[in-house]
Amino acid sequence: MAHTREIATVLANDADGDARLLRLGAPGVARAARPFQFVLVKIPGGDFILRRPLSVFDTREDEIALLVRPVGDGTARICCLVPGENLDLTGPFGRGFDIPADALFVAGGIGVAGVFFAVAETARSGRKAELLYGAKTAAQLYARSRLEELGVETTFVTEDGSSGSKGLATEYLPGVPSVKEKLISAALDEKLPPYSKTVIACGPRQMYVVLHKILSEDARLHVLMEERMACGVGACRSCAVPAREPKGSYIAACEEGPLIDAAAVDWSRLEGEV
Amino acid sequence: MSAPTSIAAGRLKLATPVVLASGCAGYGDEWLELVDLDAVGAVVLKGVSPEPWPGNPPPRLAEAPAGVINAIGLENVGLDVYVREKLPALDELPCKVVANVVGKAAGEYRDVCAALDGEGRVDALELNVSCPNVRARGAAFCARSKGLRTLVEDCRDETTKPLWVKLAPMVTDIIPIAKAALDGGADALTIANTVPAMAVDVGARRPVLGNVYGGLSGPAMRPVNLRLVHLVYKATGADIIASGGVDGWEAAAAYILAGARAVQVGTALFDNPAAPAEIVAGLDEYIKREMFDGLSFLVGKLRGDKT
Repeated sequence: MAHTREIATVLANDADGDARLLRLGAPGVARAARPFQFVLVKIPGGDFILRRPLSVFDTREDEIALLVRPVGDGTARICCLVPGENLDLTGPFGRGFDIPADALFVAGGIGVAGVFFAVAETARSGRKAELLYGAKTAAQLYARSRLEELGVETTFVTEDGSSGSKGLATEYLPGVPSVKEKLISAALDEKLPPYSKTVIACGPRQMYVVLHKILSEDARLHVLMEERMACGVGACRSCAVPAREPKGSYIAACEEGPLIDAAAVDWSRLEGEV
Repeated sequence: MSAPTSIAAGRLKLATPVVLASGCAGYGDEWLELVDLDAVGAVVLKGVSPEPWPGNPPPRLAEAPAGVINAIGLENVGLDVYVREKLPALDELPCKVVANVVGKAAGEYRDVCAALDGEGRVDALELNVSCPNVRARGAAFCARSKGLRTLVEDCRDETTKPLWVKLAPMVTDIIPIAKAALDGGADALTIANTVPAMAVDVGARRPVLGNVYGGLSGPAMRPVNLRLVHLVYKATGADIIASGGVDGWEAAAAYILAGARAVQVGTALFDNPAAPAEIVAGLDEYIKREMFDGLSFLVGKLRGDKT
Protein backbone atom coordinates (compact mmCIF):
# COMPACT_ATOMS: atom_id res chain seq x y z
CA MET A 1 0.00 0.00 0.00
CA ALA A 2 1.29 3.36 -0.93
CA HIS A 3 -1.20 6.12 -0.38
CA THR A 4 -0.20 9.53 -1.61
CA ARG A 5 -1.78 12.90 -1.96
CA GLU A 6 -1.13 14.50 -5.26
CA ILE A 7 -2.16 17.69 -6.99
CA ALA A 8 -2.90 16.40 -10.47
CA THR A 9 -2.98 18.52 -13.59
CA VAL A 10 -5.83 18.14 -16.03
CA LEU A 11 -4.37 17.26 -19.43
CA ALA A 12 -7.59 16.63 -21.31
CA ASN A 13 -11.33 16.51 -20.71
CA ASP A 14 -13.25 14.84 -23.52
CA ALA A 15 -16.91 13.99 -23.94
CA ASP A 16 -17.82 10.32 -23.96
CA GLY A 17 -21.59 9.96 -24.33
CA ASP A 18 -23.11 11.85 -21.39
CA ALA A 19 -19.91 11.43 -19.33
CA ARG A 20 -16.41 12.95 -19.45
CA LEU A 21 -13.09 11.21 -19.73
CA LEU A 22 -10.44 13.18 -17.84
CA ARG A 23 -6.76 12.58 -18.41
CA LEU A 24 -4.64 13.75 -15.49
CA GLY A 25 -0.94 14.16 -14.93
CA ALA A 26 -0.47 12.36 -11.60
CA PRO A 27 2.80 10.40 -11.58
CA GLY A 28 2.56 9.15 -8.00
CA VAL A 29 -0.92 7.70 -8.33
CA ALA A 30 -0.37 6.57 -11.93
CA ARG A 31 2.68 4.49 -11.11
CA ALA A 32 1.13 2.91 -8.01
CA ALA A 33 -2.40 2.20 -9.25
CA ARG A 34 -3.58 -1.30 -10.08
CA PRO A 35 -6.86 -2.44 -11.63
CA PHE A 36 -9.92 -2.07 -9.35
CA GLN A 37 -8.28 0.58 -7.19
CA PHE A 38 -9.76 4.04 -6.77
CA VAL A 39 -8.83 7.59 -5.87
CA LEU A 40 -10.60 10.11 -3.64
CA VAL A 41 -11.06 13.36 -5.52
CA LYS A 42 -11.51 16.70 -3.79
CA ILE A 43 -14.36 18.61 -5.39
CA PRO A 44 -13.05 21.88 -6.86
CA GLY A 45 -14.48 25.03 -5.29
CA GLY A 46 -13.97 24.15 -1.65
CA ASP A 47 -17.50 23.76 -0.29
CA PHE A 48 -17.66 19.98 -0.16
CA ILE A 49 -15.96 18.18 2.71
CA LEU A 50 -16.20 14.64 1.42
CA ARG A 51 -13.98 13.64 -1.46
CA ARG A 52 -15.59 11.53 -4.17
CA PRO A 53 -14.39 7.98 -4.77
CA LEU A 54 -13.67 7.41 -8.47
CA SER A 55 -12.29 4.26 -10.04
CA VAL A 56 -8.95 4.53 -11.77
CA PHE A 57 -10.21 4.09 -15.34
CA ASP A 58 -6.77 3.49 -16.79
CA THR A 59 -3.16 4.55 -16.43
CA ARG A 60 -0.35 5.26 -18.84
CA GLU A 61 3.09 6.12 -17.52
CA ASP A 62 2.58 9.33 -15.47
CA GLU A 63 -1.07 9.76 -16.39
CA ILE A 64 -4.31 8.43 -15.01
CA ALA A 65 -7.73 8.61 -16.62
CA LEU A 66 -11.05 9.01 -14.80
CA LEU A 67 -14.44 8.43 -16.40
CA VAL A 68 -16.95 10.67 -14.66
CA ARG A 69 -20.68 11.05 -15.17
CA PRO A 70 -22.19 14.24 -13.74
CA VAL A 71 -24.79 12.81 -11.38
CA GLY A 72 -24.63 15.44 -8.63
CA ASP A 73 -23.11 18.86 -7.88
CA GLY A 74 -19.75 17.35 -6.96
CA THR A 75 -19.25 15.18 -10.03
CA ALA A 76 -20.62 18.02 -12.21
CA ARG A 77 -17.80 20.25 -11.01
CA ILE A 78 -15.20 17.62 -11.77
CA CYS A 79 -16.68 17.29 -15.26
CA CYS A 80 -16.25 21.05 -15.82
CA LEU A 81 -12.47 21.07 -15.31
CA VAL A 82 -10.44 22.34 -18.25
CA PRO A 83 -6.88 21.40 -19.23
CA GLY A 84 -4.32 23.17 -17.05
CA GLU A 85 -6.52 23.16 -13.94
CA ASN A 86 -5.61 21.13 -10.87
CA LEU A 87 -7.36 18.33 -9.08
CA ASP A 88 -6.45 17.24 -5.54
CA LEU A 89 -6.27 13.44 -5.33
CA THR A 90 -5.52 10.93 -2.61
CA GLY A 91 -4.94 7.28 -3.31
CA PRO A 92 -4.72 4.83 -4.86
CA PHE A 93 -6.94 3.02 -2.36
CA GLY A 94 -8.29 -0.49 -2.13
CA ARG A 95 -6.84 -3.83 -2.94
CA GLY A 96 -5.85 -4.80 -6.39
CA PHE A 97 -6.93 -8.19 -7.65
CA ASP A 98 -5.10 -10.67 -9.86
CA ILE A 99 -7.18 -11.05 -12.98
CA PRO A 100 -8.01 -14.73 -13.50
CA ALA A 101 -7.52 -16.33 -16.93
CA ASP A 102 -11.21 -17.25 -17.18
CA ALA A 103 -12.53 -13.78 -16.32
CA LEU A 104 -15.80 -12.56 -17.78
CA PHE A 105 -16.22 -8.85 -17.08
CA VAL A 106 -19.74 -7.51 -16.69
CA ALA A 107 -20.38 -3.77 -16.63
CA GLY A 108 -23.52 -1.68 -16.22
CA GLY A 109 -23.45 1.91 -17.56
CA ILE A 110 -20.84 4.08 -15.84
CA GLY A 111 -19.76 0.92 -13.98
CA VAL A 112 -17.43 0.29 -16.91
CA ALA A 113 -15.12 2.77 -15.16
CA GLY A 114 -14.54 0.16 -12.45
CA VAL A 115 -13.51 -2.69 -14.75
CA PHE A 116 -12.00 -0.95 -17.78
CA PHE A 117 -8.45 -0.92 -16.36
CA ALA A 118 -8.61 -4.68 -15.75
CA VAL A 119 -10.17 -5.34 -19.16
CA ALA A 120 -7.48 -3.23 -20.85
CA GLU A 121 -4.65 -4.89 -18.89
CA THR A 122 -5.99 -8.29 -19.91
CA ALA A 123 -6.10 -7.28 -23.57
CA ARG A 124 -2.70 -5.54 -23.46
CA SER A 125 -1.11 -8.68 -22.03
CA GLY A 126 -2.27 -10.54 -25.15
CA ARG A 127 -4.98 -12.51 -23.41
CA LYS A 128 -8.58 -12.78 -24.51
CA ALA A 129 -10.67 -10.06 -22.83
CA GLU A 130 -14.40 -10.63 -22.66
CA LEU A 131 -16.87 -7.93 -21.59
CA LEU A 132 -20.63 -8.04 -21.30
CA TYR A 133 -21.69 -4.42 -21.21
CA GLY A 134 -25.21 -3.16 -20.61
CA ALA A 135 -26.69 0.31 -20.25
CA LYS A 136 -30.02 2.09 -20.37
CA THR A 137 -29.31 3.63 -23.75
CA ALA A 138 -26.53 3.98 -26.35
CA ALA A 139 -25.29 7.32 -24.89
CA GLN A 140 -24.45 5.47 -21.68
CA LEU A 141 -22.25 2.87 -23.31
CA TYR A 142 -18.88 4.50 -22.71
CA ALA A 143 -15.36 3.88 -23.99
CA ARG A 144 -16.61 2.05 -27.07
CA SER A 145 -13.78 3.07 -29.38
CA ARG A 146 -11.16 2.18 -26.76
CA LEU A 147 -12.68 -1.25 -26.24
CA GLU A 148 -12.62 -1.75 -30.00
CA GLU A 149 -8.98 -0.59 -30.34
CA LEU A 150 -7.96 -3.01 -27.60
CA GLY A 151 -9.72 -5.87 -29.35
CA VAL A 152 -11.98 -6.59 -26.38
CA GLU A 153 -14.75 -9.07 -27.23
CA THR A 154 -17.65 -6.89 -26.10
CA THR A 155 -21.34 -7.78 -26.09
CA PHE A 156 -23.35 -4.56 -25.93
CA VAL A 157 -26.84 -4.57 -24.49
CA THR A 158 -29.21 -1.61 -24.04
CA GLU A 159 -32.54 -1.49 -22.26
CA ASP A 160 -34.10 0.55 -25.08
CA GLY A 161 -32.41 -1.40 -27.86
CA SER A 162 -30.68 1.73 -29.20
CA SER A 163 -27.41 -0.21 -29.47
CA GLY A 164 -26.53 -3.90 -29.39
CA SER A 165 -29.03 -6.41 -28.07
CA LYS A 166 -32.16 -5.23 -26.29
CA GLY A 167 -32.68 -5.95 -22.59
CA LEU A 168 -30.47 -6.26 -19.53
CA ALA A 169 -26.85 -7.43 -19.59
CA THR A 170 -27.72 -10.15 -17.11
CA GLU A 171 -30.00 -11.75 -19.73
CA TYR A 172 -27.01 -12.31 -22.02
CA LEU A 173 -24.56 -14.15 -19.79
CA PRO A 174 -22.95 -16.76 -22.03
CA GLY A 175 -23.27 -20.39 -21.00
CA VAL A 176 -25.89 -19.95 -18.30
CA PRO A 177 -28.31 -22.89 -18.17
CA SER A 178 -31.79 -22.06 -19.44
CA VAL A 179 -34.84 -22.22 -17.20
CA LYS A 180 -35.76 -25.49 -18.92
CA GLU A 181 -32.34 -27.02 -18.16
CA LYS A 182 -32.63 -25.87 -14.55
CA LEU A 183 -36.10 -27.41 -14.20
CA ILE A 184 -34.96 -30.70 -15.68
CA SER A 185 -31.93 -30.92 -13.43
CA ALA A 186 -34.09 -30.03 -10.43
CA ALA A 187 -36.61 -32.74 -11.40
CA LEU A 188 -33.80 -35.27 -11.70
CA ASP A 189 -32.34 -34.05 -8.43
CA GLU A 190 -29.08 -33.31 -10.24
CA LYS A 191 -26.80 -30.45 -9.38
CA LEU A 192 -25.78 -28.26 -12.30
CA PRO A 193 -22.06 -27.65 -12.53
CA PRO A 194 -20.95 -24.22 -11.25
CA TYR A 195 -20.67 -21.45 -13.80
CA SER A 196 -17.46 -21.99 -15.75
CA LYS A 197 -16.14 -18.42 -15.69
CA THR A 198 -15.04 -16.00 -12.97
CA VAL A 199 -17.48 -13.11 -13.25
CA ILE A 200 -16.13 -9.69 -12.30
CA ALA A 201 -18.88 -7.08 -12.23
CA CYS A 202 -19.22 -3.34 -11.77
CA GLY A 203 -22.60 -1.67 -12.05
CA PRO A 204 -25.80 -0.94 -10.17
CA ARG A 205 -26.56 -2.87 -6.99
CA GLN A 206 -29.60 -4.49 -8.62
CA MET A 207 -27.32 -5.98 -11.28
CA TYR A 208 -25.24 -7.69 -8.58
CA VAL A 209 -28.34 -9.13 -6.94
CA VAL A 210 -29.53 -10.57 -10.27
CA LEU A 211 -26.06 -11.93 -11.11
CA HIS A 212 -25.86 -13.59 -7.74
CA LYS A 213 -29.29 -15.17 -8.29
CA ILE A 214 -28.57 -16.38 -11.84
CA LEU A 215 -25.16 -17.89 -11.17
CA SER A 216 -25.14 -20.92 -8.94
CA GLU A 217 -24.20 -20.37 -5.31
CA ASP A 218 -20.71 -21.79 -5.77
CA ALA A 219 -19.93 -19.74 -8.90
CA ARG A 220 -16.98 -17.41 -8.74
CA LEU A 221 -18.45 -13.90 -8.66
CA HIS A 222 -16.70 -10.70 -7.61
CA VAL A 223 -18.55 -7.41 -7.34
CA LEU A 224 -17.12 -3.91 -7.11
CA MET A 225 -18.83 -2.20 -4.17
CA GLU A 226 -19.12 1.55 -4.66
CA GLU A 227 -20.06 2.88 -1.25
CA ARG A 228 -20.20 6.30 0.31
CA MET A 229 -16.66 6.79 1.62
CA ALA A 230 -14.79 9.34 3.67
CA CYS A 231 -11.24 8.24 4.42
CA GLY A 232 -10.24 5.52 1.93
CA VAL A 233 -7.84 3.96 4.43
CA GLY A 234 -10.16 1.81 6.56
CA ALA A 235 -10.23 4.24 9.49
CA CYS A 236 -13.75 5.64 9.49
CA ARG A 237 -15.75 2.48 8.63
CA SER A 238 -18.26 4.44 6.52
CA CYS A 239 -18.18 2.12 3.51
CA ALA A 240 -19.79 -0.87 5.18
CA VAL A 241 -20.85 -3.89 3.11
CA PRO A 242 -22.84 -6.59 4.94
CA ALA A 243 -20.53 -9.57 5.52
CA ARG A 244 -21.52 -13.22 5.75
CA GLU A 245 -19.06 -13.98 8.57
CA PRO A 246 -19.15 -13.18 11.41
CA LYS A 247 -22.94 -12.87 11.26
CA GLY A 248 -24.13 -9.27 11.31
CA SER A 249 -20.67 -7.82 10.66
CA TYR A 250 -19.48 -5.56 7.85
CA ILE A 251 -16.64 -5.42 5.34
CA ALA A 252 -14.96 -2.04 4.77
CA ALA A 253 -15.12 -1.67 0.99
CA CYS A 254 -12.26 0.83 0.84
CA GLU A 255 -9.78 -1.47 2.53
CA GLU A 256 -10.93 -5.03 1.84
CA GLY A 257 -12.45 -4.14 -1.57
CA PRO A 258 -13.69 -2.41 -3.51
CA LEU A 259 -13.77 -5.67 -5.48
CA ILE A 260 -15.33 -8.15 -3.08
CA ASP A 261 -15.87 -11.89 -3.41
CA ALA A 262 -19.62 -12.51 -3.52
CA ALA A 263 -19.10 -15.45 -1.19
CA ALA A 264 -18.05 -13.02 1.55
CA VAL A 265 -21.20 -10.90 1.21
CA ASP A 266 -24.41 -11.36 3.19
CA TRP A 267 -26.81 -11.15 0.24
CA SER A 268 -29.98 -11.17 2.30
CA ARG A 269 -28.96 -7.93 3.98
CA LEU A 270 -27.60 -6.45 0.76
CA GLU A 271 -30.88 -7.12 -1.05
CA GLY A 272 -32.65 -5.30 1.74
CA GLU A 273 -30.78 -2.17 0.70
CA VAL A 274 -31.86 -2.32 -2.96
CA MET B 1 12.49 24.97 26.84
CA SER B 2 9.66 23.12 25.20
CA ALA B 3 8.34 23.96 21.75
CA PRO B 4 5.92 26.91 21.77
CA THR B 5 3.04 24.75 20.58
CA SER B 6 3.47 22.07 23.26
CA ILE B 7 0.82 22.09 25.95
CA ALA B 8 -0.64 19.90 28.68
CA ALA B 9 -4.26 18.82 28.84
CA GLY B 10 -4.94 17.47 32.27
CA ARG B 11 -1.93 15.34 33.17
CA LEU B 12 -1.19 14.53 29.55
CA LYS B 13 1.66 16.48 27.97
CA LEU B 14 1.12 17.01 24.26
CA ALA B 15 3.88 17.90 21.80
CA THR B 16 1.28 19.83 19.82
CA PRO B 17 -2.33 20.80 20.61
CA VAL B 18 -3.64 18.78 17.66
CA VAL B 19 -5.41 15.60 18.69
CA LEU B 20 -6.92 13.27 16.11
CA ALA B 21 -10.57 12.65 16.99
CA SER B 22 -12.00 9.25 17.81
CA GLY B 23 -13.77 7.55 14.94
CA CYS B 24 -12.02 9.48 12.18
CA ALA B 25 -8.58 8.35 13.29
CA GLY B 26 -9.28 4.59 13.17
CA TYR B 27 -6.92 2.48 15.24
CA GLY B 28 -4.09 4.95 14.90
CA ASP B 29 -2.06 3.57 12.01
CA GLU B 30 -4.41 3.73 9.00
CA TRP B 31 -3.49 7.33 8.16
CA LEU B 32 0.28 6.90 8.53
CA GLU B 33 1.02 7.53 4.85
CA LEU B 34 -1.24 10.58 4.49
CA VAL B 35 -1.18 12.38 7.85
CA ASP B 36 2.04 13.71 9.37
CA LEU B 37 1.81 12.28 12.89
CA ASP B 38 4.83 14.33 13.99
CA ALA B 39 2.41 17.26 13.95
CA VAL B 40 -0.03 15.42 16.18
CA GLY B 41 -0.01 15.57 19.99
CA ALA B 42 -2.23 12.54 20.47
CA VAL B 43 -4.45 10.21 18.53
CA VAL B 44 -7.74 9.10 20.05
CA LEU B 45 -8.48 5.60 18.83
CA LYS B 46 -11.86 4.28 17.78
CA GLY B 47 -14.17 3.60 20.70
CA VAL B 48 -13.70 0.17 22.22
CA SER B 49 -16.34 -1.90 24.00
CA PRO B 50 -15.88 -5.20 25.90
CA GLU B 51 -17.33 -7.22 22.99
CA PRO B 52 -17.08 -6.43 19.25
CA TRP B 53 -19.86 -4.21 17.90
CA PRO B 54 -20.89 -4.59 14.23
CA GLY B 55 -22.03 -0.99 13.78
CA ASN B 56 -25.06 0.35 11.93
CA PRO B 57 -26.49 -0.73 8.57
CA PRO B 58 -25.30 1.34 5.61
CA PRO B 59 -25.47 3.96 4.26
CA ARG B 60 -23.49 5.37 7.15
CA LEU B 61 -22.58 8.72 5.69
CA ALA B 62 -24.40 11.79 4.37
CA GLU B 63 -23.07 15.14 3.25
CA ALA B 64 -24.54 18.23 4.89
CA PRO B 65 -24.01 21.97 4.38
CA ALA B 66 -20.60 22.61 5.98
CA GLY B 67 -20.57 19.20 7.54
CA VAL B 68 -20.93 15.46 7.41
CA ILE B 69 -23.54 13.29 9.11
CA ASN B 70 -22.31 9.88 10.16
CA ALA B 71 -24.04 6.88 11.64
CA ILE B 72 -21.20 4.40 11.98
CA GLY B 73 -22.59 3.06 15.23
CA LEU B 74 -19.26 2.57 17.00
CA GLU B 75 -18.27 -0.47 14.95
CA ASN B 76 -15.30 -1.89 16.80
CA VAL B 77 -13.24 -5.04 17.16
CA GLY B 78 -13.87 -5.47 20.88
CA LEU B 79 -11.44 -5.36 23.77
CA ASP B 80 -9.62 -8.66 23.10
CA VAL B 81 -8.55 -7.91 19.53
CA TYR B 82 -7.92 -4.28 20.48
CA VAL B 83 -5.39 -5.28 23.13
CA ARG B 84 -3.93 -8.20 21.19
CA GLU B 85 -3.64 -6.69 17.70
CA LYS B 86 -4.39 -2.97 17.57
CA LEU B 87 -2.36 -1.55 20.47
CA PRO B 88 0.87 -3.47 19.69
CA ALA B 89 0.81 -1.99 16.16
CA LEU B 90 1.25 1.48 17.65
CA ASP B 91 4.69 1.05 19.21
CA GLU B 92 6.36 3.27 16.62
CA LEU B 93 3.73 6.02 16.68
CA PRO B 94 5.43 9.36 17.45
CA CYS B 95 2.48 10.74 19.44
CA LYS B 96 0.47 9.97 22.56
CA VAL B 97 -2.31 7.39 22.32
CA VAL B 98 -5.72 7.89 23.92
CA ALA B 99 -8.19 5.01 24.14
CA ASN B 100 -11.84 5.96 23.66
CA VAL B 101 -14.12 3.86 25.85
CA VAL B 102 -17.72 2.94 25.04
CA GLY B 103 -20.23 0.62 26.64
CA LYS B 104 -23.89 -0.26 26.94
CA ALA B 105 -23.87 0.04 30.72
CA ALA B 106 -21.67 1.48 33.45
CA GLY B 107 -20.12 -1.91 34.13
CA GLU B 108 -18.87 -2.14 30.56
CA TYR B 109 -17.12 1.24 30.76
CA ARG B 110 -15.57 0.14 34.03
CA ASP B 111 -14.39 -3.17 32.59
CA VAL B 112 -12.71 -1.52 29.61
CA CYS B 113 -11.00 1.06 31.83
CA ALA B 114 -9.74 -1.69 34.13
CA ALA B 115 -8.44 -3.76 31.23
CA LEU B 116 -6.62 -0.82 29.64
CA ASP B 117 -5.09 0.47 32.87
CA GLY B 118 -2.15 -1.89 32.49
CA GLU B 119 -1.60 -1.22 28.78
CA GLY B 120 1.62 0.73 28.42
CA ARG B 121 0.79 2.12 24.98
CA VAL B 122 -2.38 3.80 26.26
CA ASP B 123 -1.46 7.23 27.64
CA ALA B 124 -4.97 8.32 28.57
CA LEU B 125 -8.61 7.24 28.39
CA GLU B 126 -11.51 9.18 26.90
CA LEU B 127 -14.99 8.13 28.06
CA ASN B 128 -17.47 8.46 25.22
CA VAL B 129 -20.74 9.17 26.99
CA SER B 130 -22.26 11.06 24.10
CA CYS B 131 -22.39 9.10 20.84
CA PRO B 132 -25.70 9.82 19.11
CA ASN B 133 -25.50 6.65 17.04
CA VAL B 134 -26.04 3.84 19.47
CA ARG B 135 -29.41 2.91 20.83
CA ALA B 136 -28.68 3.79 24.42
CA ARG B 137 -26.59 6.72 23.06
CA GLY B 138 -24.97 7.14 26.45
CA ALA B 139 -28.07 9.21 27.15
CA ALA B 140 -28.31 7.96 30.68
CA PHE B 141 -24.86 9.43 31.27
CA CYS B 142 -24.38 12.45 29.10
CA ALA B 143 -27.60 14.25 29.91
CA ARG B 144 -27.87 13.56 33.65
CA SER B 145 -25.20 14.85 35.92
CA LYS B 146 -25.78 12.39 38.76
CA GLY B 147 -25.42 9.29 36.59
CA LEU B 148 -22.39 10.77 34.87
CA ARG B 149 -20.63 11.54 38.14
CA THR B 150 -21.12 7.97 39.33
CA LEU B 151 -19.89 6.57 36.01
CA VAL B 152 -16.76 8.71 36.04
CA GLU B 153 -16.09 7.84 39.68
CA ASP B 154 -16.43 4.14 38.87
CA CYS B 155 -14.00 4.44 35.97
CA ARG B 156 -11.66 6.60 38.01
CA ASP B 157 -11.46 3.78 40.54
CA GLU B 158 -10.27 1.40 37.83
CA THR B 159 -7.42 3.42 36.35
CA THR B 160 -4.64 5.75 37.30
CA LYS B 161 -4.31 7.01 33.72
CA PRO B 162 -5.51 10.48 32.77
CA LEU B 163 -9.26 10.39 32.18
CA TRP B 164 -11.05 12.58 29.63
CA VAL B 165 -14.83 12.70 29.35
CA LYS B 166 -16.34 13.50 25.95
CA LEU B 167 -19.58 15.42 26.40
CA ALA B 168 -22.62 15.86 24.18
CA PRO B 169 -23.37 19.29 22.68
CA MET B 170 -27.18 19.02 22.79
CA VAL B 171 -28.08 19.18 26.47
CA THR B 172 -30.23 21.63 28.41
CA ASP B 173 -27.29 23.01 30.36
CA ILE B 174 -23.77 21.71 29.87
CA ILE B 175 -22.30 23.30 33.00
CA PRO B 176 -23.72 20.93 35.66
CA ILE B 177 -22.82 18.01 33.39
CA ALA B 178 -19.26 19.25 33.01
CA LYS B 179 -19.02 19.76 36.78
CA ALA B 180 -20.32 16.25 37.40
CA ALA B 181 -17.61 14.79 35.18
CA LEU B 182 -14.95 16.86 36.97
CA ASP B 183 -16.31 15.95 40.42
CA GLY B 184 -16.21 12.31 39.38
CA GLY B 185 -12.50 12.63 38.73
CA ALA B 186 -12.10 13.62 35.07
CA ASP B 187 -8.73 15.19 34.25
CA ALA B 188 -10.07 16.96 31.20
CA LEU B 189 -13.23 17.34 29.12
CA THR B 190 -13.66 16.85 25.40
CA ILE B 191 -16.25 19.34 24.15
CA ALA B 192 -18.08 18.15 22.20
CA ASN B 193 -19.31 15.11 20.32
CA THR B 194 -21.51 15.35 17.19
CA VAL B 195 -25.04 16.71 17.35
CA PRO B 196 -27.96 14.40 16.37
CA ALA B 197 -28.97 15.04 12.77
CA MET B 198 -30.78 13.59 9.75
CA ALA B 199 -30.74 13.75 5.96
CA VAL B 200 -33.51 12.88 3.50
CA ASP B 201 -33.14 11.68 -0.08
CA VAL B 202 -36.15 13.41 -1.64
CA GLY B 203 -35.80 11.53 -4.94
CA ALA B 204 -36.04 8.15 -3.22
CA ARG B 205 -38.33 9.55 -0.47
CA ARG B 206 -36.28 7.82 2.19
CA PRO B 207 -33.78 8.71 4.92
CA VAL B 208 -30.22 8.82 3.56
CA LEU B 209 -28.78 6.97 6.54
CA GLY B 210 -29.50 3.31 7.22
CA ASN B 211 -29.81 4.27 10.89
CA VAL B 212 -32.11 7.22 9.93
CA TYR B 213 -30.36 9.49 12.45
CA GLY B 214 -26.69 10.28 12.68
CA GLY B 215 -24.30 12.80 14.17
CA LEU B 216 -23.36 16.07 12.49
CA SER B 217 -19.68 17.03 12.48
CA GLY B 218 -17.55 19.52 10.61
CA PRO B 219 -17.45 23.33 10.34
CA ALA B 220 -21.22 23.57 10.95
CA MET B 221 -20.51 22.56 14.56
CA ARG B 222 -17.74 25.07 15.22
CA PRO B 223 -19.76 28.11 16.42
CA VAL B 224 -21.96 25.87 18.57
CA ASN B 225 -19.10 24.07 20.29
CA LEU B 226 -17.06 27.27 20.60
CA ARG B 227 -19.79 28.61 22.88
CA LEU B 228 -19.90 25.37 24.88
CA VAL B 229 -16.13 25.43 25.40
CA HIS B 230 -16.34 29.03 26.52
CA LEU B 231 -19.25 28.37 28.91
CA VAL B 232 -17.52 25.43 30.56
CA TYR B 233 -14.15 27.15 30.75
CA LYS B 234 -15.64 30.21 32.43
CA ALA B 235 -17.73 28.17 34.84
CA THR B 236 -15.16 25.56 35.82
CA GLY B 237 -11.71 26.49 34.56
CA ALA B 238 -11.41 22.87 33.44
CA ASP B 239 -8.82 21.63 30.99
CA ILE B 240 -10.76 21.31 27.75
CA ILE B 241 -10.02 19.55 24.49
CA ALA B 242 -12.25 21.22 21.91
CA SER B 243 -13.82 19.33 19.06
CA GLY B 244 -16.04 20.40 16.20
CA GLY B 245 -15.07 21.77 12.81
CA VAL B 246 -11.37 22.33 13.44
CA ASP B 247 -10.06 22.50 9.88
CA GLY B 248 -7.33 25.14 10.15
CA TRP B 249 -5.19 27.10 12.58
CA GLU B 250 -7.73 29.91 12.98
CA ALA B 251 -10.41 27.48 14.14
CA ALA B 252 -7.89 25.99 16.56
CA ALA B 253 -6.85 29.43 17.81
CA ALA B 254 -10.49 30.44 18.31
CA TYR B 255 -11.11 27.41 20.51
CA ILE B 256 -7.92 28.03 22.49
CA LEU B 257 -8.83 31.68 23.05
CA ALA B 258 -12.28 30.51 24.20
CA GLY B 259 -10.64 28.27 26.80
CA ALA B 260 -9.49 25.02 25.20
CA ARG B 261 -5.97 23.64 25.72
CA ALA B 262 -6.05 21.35 22.71
CA VAL B 263 -8.24 20.69 19.70
CA GLN B 264 -9.46 17.52 18.06
CA VAL B 265 -9.34 17.18 14.30
CA GLY B 266 -11.68 14.64 12.77
CA THR B 267 -13.85 15.38 9.76
CA ALA B 268 -11.22 17.74 8.33
CA LEU B 269 -8.91 14.75 7.74
CA PHE B 270 -11.23 13.52 5.00
CA ASP B 271 -11.00 16.80 3.14
CA ASN B 272 -7.40 17.63 3.90
CA PRO B 273 -5.05 15.05 5.45
CA ALA B 274 -2.44 17.80 5.78
CA ALA B 275 -4.70 19.73 8.20
CA PRO B 276 -2.81 18.71 11.39
CA ALA B 277 0.55 19.89 10.04
CA GLU B 278 -0.99 23.09 8.66
CA ILE B 279 -2.69 23.85 11.99
CA VAL B 280 0.54 23.45 13.96
CA ALA B 281 2.49 25.60 11.49
CA GLY B 282 -0.23 28.27 11.55
CA LEU B 283 -0.41 28.33 15.35
CA ASP B 284 3.35 28.54 15.60
CA GLU B 285 3.38 31.57 13.34
CA TYR B 286 0.45 33.12 15.23
CA ILE B 287 2.22 32.78 18.59
CA LYS B 288 5.35 34.40 17.17
CA ARG B 289 3.40 37.19 15.52
CA GLU B 290 1.45 37.94 18.72
CA MET B 291 4.68 37.54 20.74
CA PHE B 292 3.39 34.96 23.21
CA ASP B 293 5.90 32.64 24.88
CA GLY B 294 3.75 29.61 24.17
CA LEU B 295 0.31 28.34 23.43
CA SER B 296 -0.64 27.95 27.10
CA PHE B 297 -0.51 31.73 27.49
CA LEU B 298 -3.36 32.06 24.99
CA VAL B 299 -5.82 29.75 26.73
CA GLY B 300 -8.99 31.70 27.56
CA LYS B 301 -7.34 35.01 26.74
CA LEU B 302 -10.27 36.69 25.02
CA ARG B 303 -10.29 40.46 25.12
CA GLY B 304 -13.49 42.29 26.00
CA ASP B 305 -15.14 39.15 27.31
CA LYS B 306 -17.97 40.48 29.51
CA THR B 307 -19.61 37.16 30.32
